[in-house]
Amino acid sequence: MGLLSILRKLKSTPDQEVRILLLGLDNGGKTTLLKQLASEDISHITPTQGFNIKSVQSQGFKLNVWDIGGQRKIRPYWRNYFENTDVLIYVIDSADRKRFEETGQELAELLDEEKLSGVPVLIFANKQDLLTAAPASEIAEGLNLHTIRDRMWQIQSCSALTGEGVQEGMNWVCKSVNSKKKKRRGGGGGGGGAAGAAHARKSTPSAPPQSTYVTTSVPANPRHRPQPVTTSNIPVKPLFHWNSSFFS
Amino acid sequence: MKLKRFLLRFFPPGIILEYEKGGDLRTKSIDLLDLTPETNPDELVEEIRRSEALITESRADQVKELILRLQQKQSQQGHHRFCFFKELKAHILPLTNVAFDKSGSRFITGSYDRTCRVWDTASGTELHTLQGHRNVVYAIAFNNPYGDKIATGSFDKTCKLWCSETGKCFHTFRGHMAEIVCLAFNPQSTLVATGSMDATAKLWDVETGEEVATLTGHTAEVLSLCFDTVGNQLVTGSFDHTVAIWDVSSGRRVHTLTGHSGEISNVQFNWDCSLIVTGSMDKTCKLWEAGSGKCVATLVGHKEEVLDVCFDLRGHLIATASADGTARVFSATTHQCLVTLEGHDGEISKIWFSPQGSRVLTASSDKTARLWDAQSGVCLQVLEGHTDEIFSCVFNYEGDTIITGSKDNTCRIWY
Repeated sequence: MGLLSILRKLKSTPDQEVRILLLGLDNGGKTTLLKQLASEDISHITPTQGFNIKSVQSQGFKLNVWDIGGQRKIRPYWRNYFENTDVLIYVIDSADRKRFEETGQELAELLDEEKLSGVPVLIFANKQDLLTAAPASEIAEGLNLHTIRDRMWQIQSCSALTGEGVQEGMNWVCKSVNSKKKKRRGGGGGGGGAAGAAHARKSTPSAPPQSTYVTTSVPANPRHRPQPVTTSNIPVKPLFHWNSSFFS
Repeated sequence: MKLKRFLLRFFPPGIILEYEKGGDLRTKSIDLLDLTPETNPDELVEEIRRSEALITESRADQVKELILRLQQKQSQQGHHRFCFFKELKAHILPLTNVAFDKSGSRFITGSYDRTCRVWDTASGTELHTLQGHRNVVYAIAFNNPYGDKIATGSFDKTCKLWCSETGKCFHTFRGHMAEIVCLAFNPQSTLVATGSMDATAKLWDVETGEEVATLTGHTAEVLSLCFDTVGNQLVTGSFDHTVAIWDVSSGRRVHTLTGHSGEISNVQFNWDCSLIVTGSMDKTCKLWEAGSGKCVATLVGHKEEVLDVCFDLRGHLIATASADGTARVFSATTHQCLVTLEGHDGEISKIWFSPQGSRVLTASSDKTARLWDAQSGVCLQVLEGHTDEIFSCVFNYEGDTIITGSKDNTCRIWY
């Protein structure tokens, strides 16, 4: 990769390139997910002490995925990587119930970040291959995802280990980018409104939350800096305290 | 004019004359870039006397002695074998760049952890942590040869100037609209030049901390810059595929060098300021006349992007590093590729000549740095041990110590 290549990936991306930030607590499976996306060997993965970057082609896009280490002591440095983010992917270990509150707080803080405002967020409810994994619906409810009004969002259950659900999630990423870039070009008047996505259940991927998605991208304005698109006039900040009453 | 004393410069070889003129103490340099151990010292003394009035008959023997010392220094080169000395768990996040001071007794490391750290080379102990940046510390430099100041350029869009002795921050240069990714002190250490992702370069006054000039004209990120040896001109390389030469005193653009068909990865003046070399993502390097801005040669051969390029200190050779995993050494005069350095198992992102010019140091994504014989192209040593790719490497001025900085959050000292 080299420092120069990192700088090239840092700059504002042309329309056919997408900058994706992969965040989440340590041991959530971010690096496994990254390697799964890049079709690489996932048998020897160690805690990420810095970051990993990989580029993958998907649906006409070049996805530049930045996997950032999630250990507590290096989480304050996540901010280093916010600039020019097109899509945020947040990875949750669905089997680690003890840390649901912690992961909810981190996600809430991310959604509060000015530099990430309006950035579509995909939440991967990872490790669904484990018997003890909480279903995506339960996590969505616990995190009050349905209160997110200021951006497009989606929750997708997956197993980075087996690859199940990963592609569905990335399909949503490409769709949301298409929708966003279409708006950036000034053509996206139709959709409007809040973009709260229905959450996905295991093996039944949800329908796209908006009907304005296009599947092809016509590059215009290369090097145009992505502008955050707020999809609601009245942003509502979600409450991200893990509240057991949601599980009644 | 009255000659006061001689100073010796080993790399590149030269004799500095300190003299008095109108009550002021001044210096001038006699560059001996073509000096070899085989050069006849008596003939050289005669040649110097013909062109330099300060060297009178009575000084001839002294000058000859200096030439002999330079030749002796030259013949010492090339036998040092590097040993791993120490791994420093320098930062909690990946390193960016590393740099030595002139004497080599201290070096600095920049990091994604937003700090720059000052290290004692002999012991590997940390002397200072330069804290205050709010994002990645990317570009770093000592104001060599003085070494009393350090400049750091950050993704937080600011550049900071520090006292290298105390670690105190003198100035914060604000004004760039995007990440600062390259910087340099001018040779007099009165100015700092910074290049930014905002497509501009800026000049800052070291003393006052004020902005002196904004160099505008590039239409994309400014990724590399270099002062010439005397500090009159600055060259900048950009992702807009062009290179610009600027007059430092006026801040005006003198030439725009067009011809590359890809982003510029690095730019450098040679020692006598006559040539500029540029490396590009278009897989080539180009040589340009600094005076006219004309392209004099295109160095081809790499199969992938050229990620780094440099002159040796005398300006005789050019080394190029490529994403194709090879490095090449070209002649700066004939423009022929002299040797290809093959062996790395991944792209090469940094390349340097040893100060003597006899060796080449490369850093690669294959987690190794390698040392090569510049003439034969033979790999002399593989510096192994890093557990992730190496982002940066440097020689000290004597050429007997190497620092490698890695994505694995450590740096290594090699003696």
